[in-house]
Amino acid sequence: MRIYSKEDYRELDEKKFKLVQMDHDIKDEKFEQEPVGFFKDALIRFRQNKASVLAFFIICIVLFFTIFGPYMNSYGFNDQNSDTINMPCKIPLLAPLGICDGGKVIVNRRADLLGDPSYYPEGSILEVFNEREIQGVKMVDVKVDYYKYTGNGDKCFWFGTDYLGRDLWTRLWRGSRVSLLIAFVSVITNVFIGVIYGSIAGYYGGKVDMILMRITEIISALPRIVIITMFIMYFGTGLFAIIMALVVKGWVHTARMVRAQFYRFKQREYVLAARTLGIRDGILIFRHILPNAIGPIITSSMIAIPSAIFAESFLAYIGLGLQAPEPSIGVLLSQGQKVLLHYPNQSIIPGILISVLMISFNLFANGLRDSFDPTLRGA
Amino acid sequence: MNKKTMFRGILVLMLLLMLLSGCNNNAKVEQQPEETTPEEAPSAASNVVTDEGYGILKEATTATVGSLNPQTYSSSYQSTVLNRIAIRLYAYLPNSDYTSYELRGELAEGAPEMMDESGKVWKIKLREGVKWANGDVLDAEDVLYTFKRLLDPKMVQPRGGGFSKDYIEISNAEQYYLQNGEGGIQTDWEEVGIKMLDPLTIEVTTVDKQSATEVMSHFTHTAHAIVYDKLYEECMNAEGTETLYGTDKDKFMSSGKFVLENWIPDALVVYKKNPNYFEKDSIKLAGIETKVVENAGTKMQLFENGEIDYLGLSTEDYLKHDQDPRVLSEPGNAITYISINTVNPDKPILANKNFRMAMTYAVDRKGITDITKDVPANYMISTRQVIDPATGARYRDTDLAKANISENYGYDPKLAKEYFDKAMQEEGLKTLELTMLYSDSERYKTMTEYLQKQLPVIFGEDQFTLKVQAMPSSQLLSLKKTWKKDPTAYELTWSAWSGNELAPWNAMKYWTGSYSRKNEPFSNEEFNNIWDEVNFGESRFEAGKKLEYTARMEQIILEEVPFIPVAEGRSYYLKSDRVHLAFPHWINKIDFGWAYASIVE
Repeated sequence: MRIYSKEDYRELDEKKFKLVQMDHDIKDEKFEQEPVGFFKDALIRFRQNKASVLAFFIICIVLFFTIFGPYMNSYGFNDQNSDTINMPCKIPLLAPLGICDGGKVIVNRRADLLGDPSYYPEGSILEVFNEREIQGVKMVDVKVDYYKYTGNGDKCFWFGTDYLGRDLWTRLWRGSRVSLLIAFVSVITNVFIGVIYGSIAGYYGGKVDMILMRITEIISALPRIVIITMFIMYFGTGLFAIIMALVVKGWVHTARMVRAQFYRFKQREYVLAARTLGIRDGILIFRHILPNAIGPIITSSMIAIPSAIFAESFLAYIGLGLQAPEPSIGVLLSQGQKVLLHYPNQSIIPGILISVLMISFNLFANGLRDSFDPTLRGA
Repeated sequence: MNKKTMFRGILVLMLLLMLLSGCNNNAKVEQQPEETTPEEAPSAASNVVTDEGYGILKEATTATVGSLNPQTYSSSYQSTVLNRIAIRLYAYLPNSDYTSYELRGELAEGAPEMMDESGKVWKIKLREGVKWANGDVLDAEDVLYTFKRLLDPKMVQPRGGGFSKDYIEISNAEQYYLQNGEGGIQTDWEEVGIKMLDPLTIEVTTVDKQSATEVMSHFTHTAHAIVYDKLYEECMNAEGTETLYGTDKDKFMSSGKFVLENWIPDALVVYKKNPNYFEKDSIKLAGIETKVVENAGTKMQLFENGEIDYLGLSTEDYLKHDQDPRVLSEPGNAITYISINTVNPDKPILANKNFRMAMTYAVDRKGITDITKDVPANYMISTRQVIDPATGARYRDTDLAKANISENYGYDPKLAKEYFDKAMQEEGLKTLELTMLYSDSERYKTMTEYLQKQLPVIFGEDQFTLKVQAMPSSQLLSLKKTWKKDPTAYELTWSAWSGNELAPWNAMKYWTGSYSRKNEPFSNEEFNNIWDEVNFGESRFEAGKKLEYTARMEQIILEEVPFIPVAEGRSYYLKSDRVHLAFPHWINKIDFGWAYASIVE
């Protein structure tokens, strides 16, 4: 193959050449796919996780009922009625299936009173069984339509009523509103404190970090239940005291996580470049480094929400919950547990709700964690 | 199906079988206590009472003992336990045909003997041959030691005040007891009106003229049970100010109907029949076993499984058994009332009588008790209290007592609003917010939440708010007691009062100005004078005077409204068929007589 030298080029006829770029612009080829950003990629990956999507929809449904549920019937959350105490569930749609039909078994009844309408109004007896004799008296157990039995045939309480005749449907959704409010507010406060604290410790490092981290260690070492009890004893039980009790130690985890992210990113070239250009610390922290920690922060916050709901329920369960008459899921569970053997609907329904919420928030948080995980990007 | 799947299937099946076999209760049948097996049960001849007794009565209680020192006891359950295992000079014991109680000598041989015309010197003869559980002789020296310790000026036992002055006032006893306090007068033990004449005789000198019944009643108190001097001294600290007597099984000596066999604090108390008890034939049981079980549901399960012989019913359990022929009911005892802190400087309206009247008319007692299954009460003296112990006549059945009860249980919302408006005007208030403290029991919670809803409806929701706060009952009790030191300790709260059921005129001591242990401030001169007269005045011996004075004292309380009576508690029990009670029904001071019951298989 011949190799051309400079002299050879000079011999070439210029007319044989033409400029090709004169008629059109030279550009890179257009991307066939739209560019995928960090959050969009996370959303795509989240959508692929069916369990998380289902959990998200369940959370949305619960939130819907939490907001609108208390207005779906005519009963207020604190409407007392001594004629409708401890009524069982009655849901007309499910009644034909024999579920939540307002029926209840009342035990140890005298058989000779079964025909007395002052004890059993017409149509109230559904089934008589377990005939026996106690000290010469014939006794039976009777399944009754409890609404007719108590003279409330025209009423309908979907989830039944409590010890003061208050509608449990209204109280449950009102209670879940309070529980979720406590959870969200405490988590947001934890994130707010934790992000600022962790950013300062991580960014400045050295003595500042050492002092700040020792403080977190001291706070972590304090027993949680003792702090909570002291808070509630000092401020009394109420929304503020419970939220503060959950915040006192809750922010420490966020602070440590954010600090770790700062240690990871603060020596990167783009940060050094920004610093060289004279960017202020605040902008460096919040604009250039902190966005890297958003994924872990969102994930840990979502995981913290069910923990906060559970903590509130635990406090209510041990008698440190909200003051009457305000309900919360924990307050309802605590009350229901005391009469579990007598009126199981009073504990089973809030029990199901808190279980569904816990599972949903955990699955949702798992989905978010996987979505925000950079190592899984494009996977 | 491959081998691996088969193996998994077999494993699952085995696990299921194991679980199901664990669910059946055949094992419980095998664990029946020996004394309840039919082979060992005496036949119809179980009426023959042996020194060992027959059968163990099994109980469950939510209460715990704490200490078995009678001189420091504080709860009614401690009193129940001590009355089984500690002997007193006098006691309320069954009559011969088990139809009522009798006030008789337990350690004392008979009624006290009046030694002078003035009725102030009494001689009490003790039974001969009474022994402690360890076989030591129990005589007048033990009695004297017990009373000396009760009044010890160094120890200042909380029960010393009641011993020096209650049914009777023992001469110089209070002066001796309080000599180390402010303004105390130095007094020798020799000056106190209790003497030992010989090893079997005690002499008591009182300030006022007394009757024999009053002297006997005074010495029935649980706190006046006899303590074992040697052990008491061994358990005493070097300064002689505190003793550990009664703080565990080995630091207590039994002398009553039963002997303390075992005591695991907060878990179990086991009693064995005392073969040396003077009326041992009245005790048919071989023993009693009391378990501490806090949960009502667990107690019911224990009863249904035959592991306890009777139980007190919760409201929910009562509703399940209200038609059950096995249910036993007892008349109301404690009156539950709303305590008002009338000296609270932050809420001067609480001292306003019109406001308190407004509260008393605003409480719908019937509405509350329809929920709690109690008895509505706008009175202070309970149904079980007896005005004439000789006839057993109940105070509430008398015309004077009935006259103190207003219509509709005192509920009148219109009148309540009028009084409220008047009080608000007098205090210059437009809105009022009060806080009610309540102990974390279901009953108080229900009553409080009911009032929280109802009172603003009556007084005006824009004018009145009731905040409520729950706290553990022990914490609430301590808080209530601090009202003297800290007048802001509480505004409104709940209390309950029962008093001596055989002497309501005496029980009213709780409301006298000088009584220091009450939970709320109240003092009324007329009330104090009547109490003194009915307990120590000459006129108390006149027929009908005690009733008249008692009714007037109750009337003063209802007129002055230092607190608001709301409900009278009812108690229901469910009893197993294997327990045969000696009494046909509930009896004052004996209750259902569980200690006198017999077990029949």
